[in-house]
Amino acid sequence: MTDSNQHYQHQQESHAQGPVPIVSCSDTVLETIQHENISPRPRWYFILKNEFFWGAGVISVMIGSCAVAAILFAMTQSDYDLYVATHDSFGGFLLDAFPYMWTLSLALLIMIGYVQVKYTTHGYKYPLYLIAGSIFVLTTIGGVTLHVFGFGSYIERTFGPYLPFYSTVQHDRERIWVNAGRGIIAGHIQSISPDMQSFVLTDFRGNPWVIQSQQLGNMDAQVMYLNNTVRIIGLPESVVISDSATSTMFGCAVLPWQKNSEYTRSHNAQDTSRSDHRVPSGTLATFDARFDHTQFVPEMRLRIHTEEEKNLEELRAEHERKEINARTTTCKDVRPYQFIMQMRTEASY
Amino acid sequence: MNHTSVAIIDLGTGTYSNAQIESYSDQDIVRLVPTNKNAFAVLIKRYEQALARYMRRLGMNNPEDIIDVLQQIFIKAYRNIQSFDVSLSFSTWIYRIAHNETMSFFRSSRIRPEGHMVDDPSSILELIHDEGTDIAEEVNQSINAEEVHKALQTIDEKYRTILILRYFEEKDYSEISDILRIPMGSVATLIHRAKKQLSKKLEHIRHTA
Repeated sequence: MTDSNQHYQHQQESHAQGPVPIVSCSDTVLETIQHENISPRPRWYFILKNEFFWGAGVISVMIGSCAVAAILFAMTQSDYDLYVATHDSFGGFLLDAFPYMWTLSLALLIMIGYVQVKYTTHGYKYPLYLIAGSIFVLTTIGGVTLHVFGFGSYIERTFGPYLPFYSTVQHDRERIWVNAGRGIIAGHIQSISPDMQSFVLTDFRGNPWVIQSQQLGNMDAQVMYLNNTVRIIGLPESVVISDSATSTMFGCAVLPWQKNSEYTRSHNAQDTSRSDHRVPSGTLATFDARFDHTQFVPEMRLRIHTEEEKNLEELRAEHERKEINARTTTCKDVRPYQFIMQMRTEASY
Repeated sequence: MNHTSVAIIDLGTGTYSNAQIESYSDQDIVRLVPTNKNAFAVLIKRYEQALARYMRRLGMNNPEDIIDVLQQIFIKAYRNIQSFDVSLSFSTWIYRIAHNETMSFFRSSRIRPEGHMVDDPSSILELIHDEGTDIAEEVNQSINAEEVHKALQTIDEKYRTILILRYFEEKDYSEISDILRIPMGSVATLIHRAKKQLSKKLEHIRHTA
C-alpha cells in the first residue's frame, strides 16, 4: 500500500465521525456515463480554451494601446498653449479638453483584459493590481509607440466617431474656437482687401466675418499667406463699435489652424554646440522643423546662414520687435494677445 | 485529501484489476480514466464521502440533494478529466468542482445554506486558537457548540466557506487558493476577516442571550 493510500485511509477514518455516510454513487455515475454516452473532452479542447483567454487578453491590450494612442493624440492636439484665449482657467480647459470617452474605453479594456487573464489556467493566482497594472503598462507602451509613429491621429479620427457621446478633437477645437464673445474666431480666409486693411473669413459654422487687420504684423501676414484656415485672436465683437451690420472683429493675432504646421525656429550657434553639427561660435544657425506624421519627432534641418543672411535675419527680428512695440493700445489690452506676443518672442510661432 | 505518487507507474495499455487500480495514486488513476471507466469508479469511491461531508458543511441539508449534486460533480469531473492540471492535487481539483456545483445548486434552487455545518464546533475554536487568535478570549466568555453553530450560520458565505476549508477540511492556503481560484494573499486576508466576523457574531449572540 502506498503512502498516499495510507493517508487516504487516515482521512477516511478521521472523517468517519459526524452524519451517516451517504450511499456510494459510483455505480449510478458510471451508468449515467454509459447510458448517456458521455466521454471525456479531448485535451486540445482545454488547451484551445486556455489559449483563447490569453488571446482575448492580448487583443484587449492591443485595443487598449489604440485607446492610449488616441488619448495622447487628443491631449497633444488640444490647445494647451492657448488656454488663456479659449478658457477662463487651466482647470476649465482640462475639463473641456480631457478625452473622457477614450479614457473610459481604456478602463473598460483593462477590465476585460483582467477578466480574460483571470480565466486562464493559472490566472487566478495573480492579484488584481498585478494583472491590471501589467495590462496598463503594456497598453501604455503600445499606445506611446503607436502615437510616436503617427497612428494616434488615424485611430482618433477613424474610431472616435463610433464612440458614444464622443466628439473628435477636430470638432472640439472647431466648437471652442468659434466664440466671438471671447474674441476668438477660426475659419477659412475667403478674400483679402487690396489695401490689406481687412479680410473676409468664414467661420466653421458658415458665418462670414470681416476682420480688421490694421494691427496685424508681418508674422500674422506670413501665417495668412501660408495657411488658408486660421485662428484669429482679437477684440470681442461687443467692444468694437461698428456701424455696419456685418459681423466685425478687430484682429490682433493670426495663428495657423493646423497645430503642427511648418514653422521655423532660430537659435544662436551656442545652442547647437551640443549637437553633432558643430558650428563656429557667433554663426547664425536656423533649425527648420517640420511635423509631418508624428508629433514627437519632427524632421529637423540645420541651416547655417551666411554673414549677409545673418544680418538680414537680425534686421528682420529687430523690425518685428519694433513693430510689436509700435502697436496701438487696442490690442495690448487683450490678454491672449499679450500671451501670444510672449510666445512669439520665445519662438517663431 | 492528497494522494501523491511515490513512484511513477508504467500504465502501458494493459487491463487492470480494481485491486491494482486502488493501489495507484490519484494522478496515475487520472491517466487511466480516458480509457478505463472502472478507474474512475475508484476515484469516486475515494472522494464521495469527503465531498458529501464538505457539501453538508457548506449548508446542504437534504441527502437526496447531496447525492444528486455529487453525481453532477463526478460526471462533470469525468467530462473534464483531461483538463486536470497535474501541478494541482486531484483532491484540490475535485474540491473546486464540488464547491462550484454546490454554489450553483444554492443559486439555482434558491435554497439558503443551513443545517449541520459543523460536526464539532468547539474544534474550530481550538484550531483558530492554534493559529494565534483566541476567539474565546476575545469574546471573553465561555462558548458552547450551539453558539458557534449559530455564529457560523450568520457570517457571510465567503467567510463561512473559507473557515470550513481551513479548519474543517484542513486545507492549507495554497489548496484553498486553488479551490476558490483566488490569490494566496486574498486567502490570508479572507481568513483574517472571517475570524474577526466570527468573533463579532459570537459576541453579539452572547449579548442577546
